[in-house]
Amino acid sequence: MRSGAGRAGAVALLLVMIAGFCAPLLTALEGQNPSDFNGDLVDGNNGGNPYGSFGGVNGSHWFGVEPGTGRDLFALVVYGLRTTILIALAATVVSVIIGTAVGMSMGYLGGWFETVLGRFVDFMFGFPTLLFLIALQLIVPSDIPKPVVLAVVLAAFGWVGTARLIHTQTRQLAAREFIDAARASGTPLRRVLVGELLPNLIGTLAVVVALSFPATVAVSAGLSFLGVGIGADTPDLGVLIGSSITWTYTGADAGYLIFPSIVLLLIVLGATLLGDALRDAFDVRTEENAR
Amino acid sequence: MVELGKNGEHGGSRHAVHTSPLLDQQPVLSLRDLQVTFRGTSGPVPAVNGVTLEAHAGQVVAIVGESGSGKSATALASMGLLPDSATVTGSVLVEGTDLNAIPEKQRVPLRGSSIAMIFQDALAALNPYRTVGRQIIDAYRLHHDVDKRTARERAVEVLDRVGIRDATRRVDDYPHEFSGGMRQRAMIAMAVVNDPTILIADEPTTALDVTVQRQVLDLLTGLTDDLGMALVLITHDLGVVAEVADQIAVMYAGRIVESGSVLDIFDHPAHPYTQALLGATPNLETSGRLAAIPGVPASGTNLPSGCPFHPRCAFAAEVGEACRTKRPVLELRPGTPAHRAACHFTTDRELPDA
Amino acid sequence: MTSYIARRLVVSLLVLLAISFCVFMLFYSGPSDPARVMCGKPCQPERLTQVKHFMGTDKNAFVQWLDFLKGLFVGRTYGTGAEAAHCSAPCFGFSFDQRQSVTNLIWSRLPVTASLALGGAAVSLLVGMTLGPLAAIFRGRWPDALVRGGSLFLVATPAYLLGLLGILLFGFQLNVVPVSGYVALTDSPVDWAWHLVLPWCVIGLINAAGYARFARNQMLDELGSDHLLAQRATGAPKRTVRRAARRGVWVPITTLFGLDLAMLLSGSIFTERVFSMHGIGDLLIGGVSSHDLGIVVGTALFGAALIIVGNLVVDIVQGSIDPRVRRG
Repeated sequence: MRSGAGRAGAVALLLVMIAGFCAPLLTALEGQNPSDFNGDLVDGNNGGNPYGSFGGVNGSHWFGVEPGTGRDLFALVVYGLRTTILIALAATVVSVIIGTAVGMSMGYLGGWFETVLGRFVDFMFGFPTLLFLIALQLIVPSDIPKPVVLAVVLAAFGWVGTARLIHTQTRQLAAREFIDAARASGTPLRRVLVGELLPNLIGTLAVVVALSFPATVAVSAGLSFLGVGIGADTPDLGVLIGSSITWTYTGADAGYLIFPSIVLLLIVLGATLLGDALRDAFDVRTEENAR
Repeated sequence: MVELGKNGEHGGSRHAVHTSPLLDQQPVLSLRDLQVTFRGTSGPVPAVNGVTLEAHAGQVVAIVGESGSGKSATALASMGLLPDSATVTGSVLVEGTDLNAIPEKQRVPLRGSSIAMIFQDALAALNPYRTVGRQIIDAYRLHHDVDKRTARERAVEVLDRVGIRDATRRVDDYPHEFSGGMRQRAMIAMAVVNDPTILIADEPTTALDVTVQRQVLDLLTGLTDDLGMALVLITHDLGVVAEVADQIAVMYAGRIVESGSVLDIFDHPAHPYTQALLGATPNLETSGRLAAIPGVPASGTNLPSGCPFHPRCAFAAEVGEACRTKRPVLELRPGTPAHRAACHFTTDRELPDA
Repeated sequence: MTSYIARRLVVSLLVLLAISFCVFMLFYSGPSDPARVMCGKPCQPERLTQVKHFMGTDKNAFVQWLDFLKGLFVGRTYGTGAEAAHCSAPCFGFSFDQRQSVTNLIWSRLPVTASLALGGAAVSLLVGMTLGPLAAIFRGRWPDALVRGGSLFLVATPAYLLGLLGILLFGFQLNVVPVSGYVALTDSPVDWAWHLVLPWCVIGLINAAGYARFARNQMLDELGSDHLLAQRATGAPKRTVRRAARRGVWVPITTLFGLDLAMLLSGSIFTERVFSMHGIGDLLIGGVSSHDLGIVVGTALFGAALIIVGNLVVDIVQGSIDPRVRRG
């Protein structure tokens, strides 16, 4: 049953990812695009609510239209999905690489290097990262594209969890004989790390990627939701959900919240289910099920 | 040694006094055809296959075996403390009451007062968040309707009895503030605070270093005599057994393969497994060399046919077919009052000296 | 115990010093000049120099950091003469945009965030510590599956989504709780709680998921532990033993709670936004949108200090419930 849930998660994640990458194709199929304003589809006298039921869902606007502007919601969602996924994917890949490098070198080199970095990593683990992610938006030069900024700052703070986990795993592996053997036979450091340690960490890395990806998606979309991430002019799931608040309070257009939310939920839940199943399969202990 | 105080006189000479079992009395603990089966992920796993055993008041009965032989399952079954995944059949008569036949609710008041138990790792067996005294007081008040002060006095008294110096002060210490040997004593105090009739000790000295081992054994035998309880000593260490036990039961693959008095087992071992174990016991004469028994211990999931010991037995080839097809039963050795063995080879002959 | 606390206190102070230093080097040597924003457009060079001097940004980042530290301990005055603005200790900086000390701004917003975070923490511990051990006791049966499935779902769900969906369901469809706004506790305790019910549940449930999972596994360890077996061997009934097991779960839970303080704060920030409450998070975001460096730096540092102090408190609490920690 557990692996069944994992499989379902993998399928959901895959479908949503494909939808995101095929955004132009899908919108072409629908016959819409994310930038056309359709003032005629919203009721200007009623606060810009879309005409028709459930936010104006019909054959040509599959998810209805955005209240106020009348832009096609399906196009906004799939393009927004693409933005969100790309940012999170880039941030995850970079942060996992940094985290793995730091964690492995800590576990393998040991000594003061391990002590100092270990303290730092422990400290960062309980650090109010979100505050600084928000604050940093103020000082980044405005000529760098926002998605790049987001991916970089997310990666800069996101590697800590990976480093912690990889560190423990490396330390356990490094105590094993085959590592000693490689060391004793004079294999250069880099070769031992990459040739002997890394292959044994593959399972852990799979879990790390699968679990940190949804977390990164949530924070990345979260920053945009708070209005300090992606600018309102780029379609993004977080931006869409953020701007739906006003319409949610009045219950005027539930579809505007629900469609982007479901898609976002599919990514995070899918990846989490997959990650959880992988964690069981590879028997990796993370913070919550540790000790 | 000094720490032991009044218990010091017990020790090596013990079984010279108690060579014959007290046959005139009823046993305080009597296991009859005890069977324990665990529910495993791939079907039932038998752990104990029909153990029959008696322990009399004032007597030390040792159950000896390798890990996986079912000795710990036997101990927990006697306490009625096995997890729900275990099925227990047969009877566990504690002072005449069959623990296995009464509901848990009626078993609870018997634990601690009639039958108590101590464990291998005292650090794990004591609650780290409570003072030693508090744990003993709680145990005492489960069976005695007294106020906290009285219970505390009793706790100090028992701690003093088990050889904790300055017990009045140490009673408020936490387990981690005790040394390994003292923790073992504290755990014993917690078990005997209610004067149990039977004390089951599961590898009580395995985790300790040699000098402390000796002191703890002396304490246990001293308590057995003073309180007139029956001590069921579970161990894999025949050296421990030789010094303190009156009766010995050797277990292999969930069954008793040989039982008898200390002299029976040590001077006339009748089962090749016992022989091998004795060979594996380091002593001064054999210059401490361990004779490892070849092969893998049989366990519940891969039980060999016939005699479970036959794949490792040095005499199986000589006996032939019977060892592989027929399971030997525990039979009284001719000319002995209570020496039993389950072996095709030695049913009616002596084993060659080890 | 006292020396333990003293040592942890010193370490915490050093960490805070290091963070503030890094933040000043990063934020006050960057290309974004807070004076230019204040100066407005068009901005004459001499006016800019004046503004810079007033704000203290004409000095280098290191000196500005020292000024900040001085302000924290003894307070400081910006500018001179009639225009001068005083910021008394502890001064977390000054918002020239709002002509108020950041400390005052934070102080006015703190009740909102504190109400959210503390209430959320209470809900999460209550729910997590009830359901986790329950799942462990019913291991492999339906209550266990329910708790595990539910916590997996909640661990994955972002706080803002849960909040918005909660508003949609309970606020609008069922119309049982208010959907937005904060009422001060001093104004009306009932309204205060009533407005916070849904936010508390959101923060609480999101965090409870982790506690439930952790408490479940911890409880399983406890239930299988030798000391509970030994306690049962003394004749303790199952109920008593389970109570001892729950106590054994609390100790490691406090460790997790310390690690989760930051998550509690970020949960509050999202929740403030969802429920239109003007707390610390809202202050920070407002500072970012209005390019108010004073607010942004002051709030971020205050948040960091809050978490570090919180961790210190958790450590002390842990020392008082786990006798083994005290020796450290």
